Amino acid sequence: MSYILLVEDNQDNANMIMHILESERYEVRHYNRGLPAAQAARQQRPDLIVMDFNLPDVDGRVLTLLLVQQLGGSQKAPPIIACTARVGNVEAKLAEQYGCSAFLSKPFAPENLLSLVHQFVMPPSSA
Amino acid sequence: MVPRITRRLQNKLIFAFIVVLLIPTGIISFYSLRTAASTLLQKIGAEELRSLVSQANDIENKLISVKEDLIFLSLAPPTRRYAAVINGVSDPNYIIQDAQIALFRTFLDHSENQYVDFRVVDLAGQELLHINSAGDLIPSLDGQNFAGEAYFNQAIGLPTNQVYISDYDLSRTNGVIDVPYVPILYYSVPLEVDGANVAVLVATVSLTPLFTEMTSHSTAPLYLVNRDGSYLLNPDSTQLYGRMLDNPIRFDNDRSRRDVIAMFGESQGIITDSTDYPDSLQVFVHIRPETQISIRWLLFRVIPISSILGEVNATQQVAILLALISLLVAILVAVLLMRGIVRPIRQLAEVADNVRLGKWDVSVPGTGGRDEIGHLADAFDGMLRELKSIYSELEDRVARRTAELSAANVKLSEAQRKAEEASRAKSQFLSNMSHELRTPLNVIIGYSHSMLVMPQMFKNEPMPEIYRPYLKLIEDNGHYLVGLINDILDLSKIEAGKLELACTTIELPEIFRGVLATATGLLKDKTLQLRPNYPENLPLVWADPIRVRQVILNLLSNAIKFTTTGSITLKAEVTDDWVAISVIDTGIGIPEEARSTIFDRFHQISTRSFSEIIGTGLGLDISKQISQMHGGDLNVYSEVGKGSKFTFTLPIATAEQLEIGRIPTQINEAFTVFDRGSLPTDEVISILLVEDEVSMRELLRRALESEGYIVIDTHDGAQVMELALGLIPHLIILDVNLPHVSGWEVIEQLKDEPTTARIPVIVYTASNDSSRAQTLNIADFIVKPTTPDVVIQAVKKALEKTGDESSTG
Repeated sequence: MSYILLVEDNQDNANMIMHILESERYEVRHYNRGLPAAQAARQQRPDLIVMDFNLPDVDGRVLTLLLVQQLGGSQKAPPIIACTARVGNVEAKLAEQYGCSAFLSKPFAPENLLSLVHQFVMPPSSA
Repeated sequence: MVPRITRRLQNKLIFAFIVVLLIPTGIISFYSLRTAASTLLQKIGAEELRSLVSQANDIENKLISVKEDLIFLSLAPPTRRYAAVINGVSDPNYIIQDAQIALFRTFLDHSENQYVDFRVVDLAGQELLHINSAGDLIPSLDGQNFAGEAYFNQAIGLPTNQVYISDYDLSRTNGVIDVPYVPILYYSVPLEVDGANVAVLVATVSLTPLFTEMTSHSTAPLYLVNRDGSYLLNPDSTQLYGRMLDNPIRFDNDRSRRDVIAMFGESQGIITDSTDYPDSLQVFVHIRPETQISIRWLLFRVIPISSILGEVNATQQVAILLALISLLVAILVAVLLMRGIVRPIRQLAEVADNVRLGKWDVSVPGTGGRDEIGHLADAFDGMLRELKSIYSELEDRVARRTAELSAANVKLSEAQRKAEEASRAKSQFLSNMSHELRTPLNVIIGYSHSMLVMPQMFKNEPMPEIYRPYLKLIEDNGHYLVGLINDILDLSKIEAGKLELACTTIELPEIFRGVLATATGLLKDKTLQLRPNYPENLPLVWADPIRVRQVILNLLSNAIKFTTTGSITLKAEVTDDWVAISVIDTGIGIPEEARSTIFDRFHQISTRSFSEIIGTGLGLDISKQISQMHGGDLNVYSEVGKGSKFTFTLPIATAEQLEIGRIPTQINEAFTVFDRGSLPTDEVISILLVEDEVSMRELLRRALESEGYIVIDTHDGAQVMELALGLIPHLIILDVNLPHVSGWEVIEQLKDEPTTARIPVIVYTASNDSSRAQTLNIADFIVKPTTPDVVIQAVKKALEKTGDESSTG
């Protein structure tokens, strides 16, 4: 069962992202905290992770780093899109170093999110 | 460094000593020797003269004794009888003649051998009798007449008892001068009968015995000069008898006029400064046995001074030797004396050098001495002590000042720390604010945009058209707010010097196309023309593409805002090493007084209304800063009512920059995609650190991070289980003395849970009760207090062990 794991502490944003992705028939599972999300990711491997770095229980970047390692390393682990309200070159560079596959700064245009997700996982409708 | 003494005081003093000693010694010696020499010369001269005069007297006496002999002979009875015979008879009586001959013989027997012969000559000049020195009768030569001879015609006129003595002559035989030469004198006396002279008695006297005796008594060369200048005595025999031998050798020809005058002018004397005999002393005396007779002799002796002064010279040498010895002694004494002076001075200098090098604990040598050096040492010692006290006082003062200064420094650094903290807090605040604002804005923009363009999100339900412009407003203002937030963030970064450029080689036309497309969207319903005016073959520039985009977009959006009709031109041209990018509008223009302040952000903020800021924007200031960070600048040319021209410059990429090449970064502000394969994230080791004490936690975290570990830390024991479950770290370091929760219980929970049971746990505690550690299979047990090193060692050991287990199991 393929799905997208969304880690986002802001419920409104999470709802919107799910709304956008679900409009393309992606299955999205949302966690508003990092640690349960990581447990879930290890138990049921997602196709893609959309991760807010700014999480209440753990640093999203560290979580990304460990998840990439635990889910098979940088070559095999599912791609992780950093989706954060922290912007700038430095932030993007850090995201790259911690093993993210892409960096999307908030606020974003819904179609940008979609086109980015399309780069990694095709929507089930078109599959 | 102790300076090397090249000109020693000692040498100077010794030199001075020698000069002082030697010069007077030399002068005194010179004068005393000279005086001694001249005194000696005078004395010897006088002595010589005395001996010469006595010699002369002897000669005179001898000459006179011969004369007396002749008078005696002329008056003797046989002679008188013979004279009477001569007077009376022309043919002499032989008996009387024999008596006369006998007289001569007897006389010759009893006299010295100076007589060469005796003759008796008659008035006609005929020889009557001739007896030689042996007493033999010599027959007269035929026709021989003595009438022309001086000794005859001078004597014939003399009264009785008067003798004529001739000038010198040389003996001859038969008129020829005998060789060897024998100097002779003729003594002649008249023989008288009854008051009339009847004959002349002539004695020929050889001077040789006299001269022999004279020279034999003289050590120095002896000279006898006749009145005509002929030498009668001369060590050089070839010089003798000038007149008689018809040679030109004469005393007055030989000698300097000065000597001749001196010798003939005085009856006797000493000449010490003759030019003819410069190194000689001469004594002379005249011999005049009879004033009326023709003998006028000059007797002189030449004594070489060297022979006289030999003694003086020897004395002189001794004197020089003595002077040298005394000089040596003097030098020796001087050296010893100088040492006595110089050594203490040198020691003082050494002490001074040591002091200069900071060695204060030195003792001054030679203090308490009674001489000047001792006084100097005392004074030096006093000075040193004073200096020491001044120095220590200075040091105290410096220490005080340093303390004050460091106190001030502490205050200052405290103030600086506070300022930095405030600055950091400000940055953090801005960053947080940005984040907090963006999060809701994401929803606002996202939904308004979705509602406008993504009907599939809303089950394709048609949206009433009347809502569309308002939704658009919501979205635009949302974007505008994001822009403001970005500007504020950029400004704060620029202010903190934290804005970093990601420079690369840029193809400007590519950027221009993107920017113009965006600007077209900003035109909305304005009927403005956007005119691109640049060549497609612009050279590559070295710049941050995102920032360049930001600047151009900012200039374009400003132009659009202030222009209602006409056109906006985006122009680019190459000038030297730069590309000048201009945005030219036909808008309202900027008044001159405002031109200088449009780049000045905070003045505007404080003096103008918010709407005005929106008008010009923070963007111009940021744009100018960004241009300057690229090495260029942003300038404005404007005319009110006609429009404005904003120009900023970017550097053309250099050869090296071109070589670095274009980094293929996707220029898309919306999102960035990375190539994940190039990162070594798989090697990372994560450690969960549980420690309630902040400072300890920070210390350990930093130490572990410096070793390359990823550290997740928490102070809350209650979170440990959740964190461990969520993160599955490679290792857990746990302080068991946690508030609210027992660390041991946490470990028990971890060991009970299958997913976390295998994570090694290092216990870190103040209590050394390790009994539970054994039952709980703890990787390591560290007792506080400890150092990060120990912890790191324990971590390495524990990880090694797990690595082994996982590779074997």
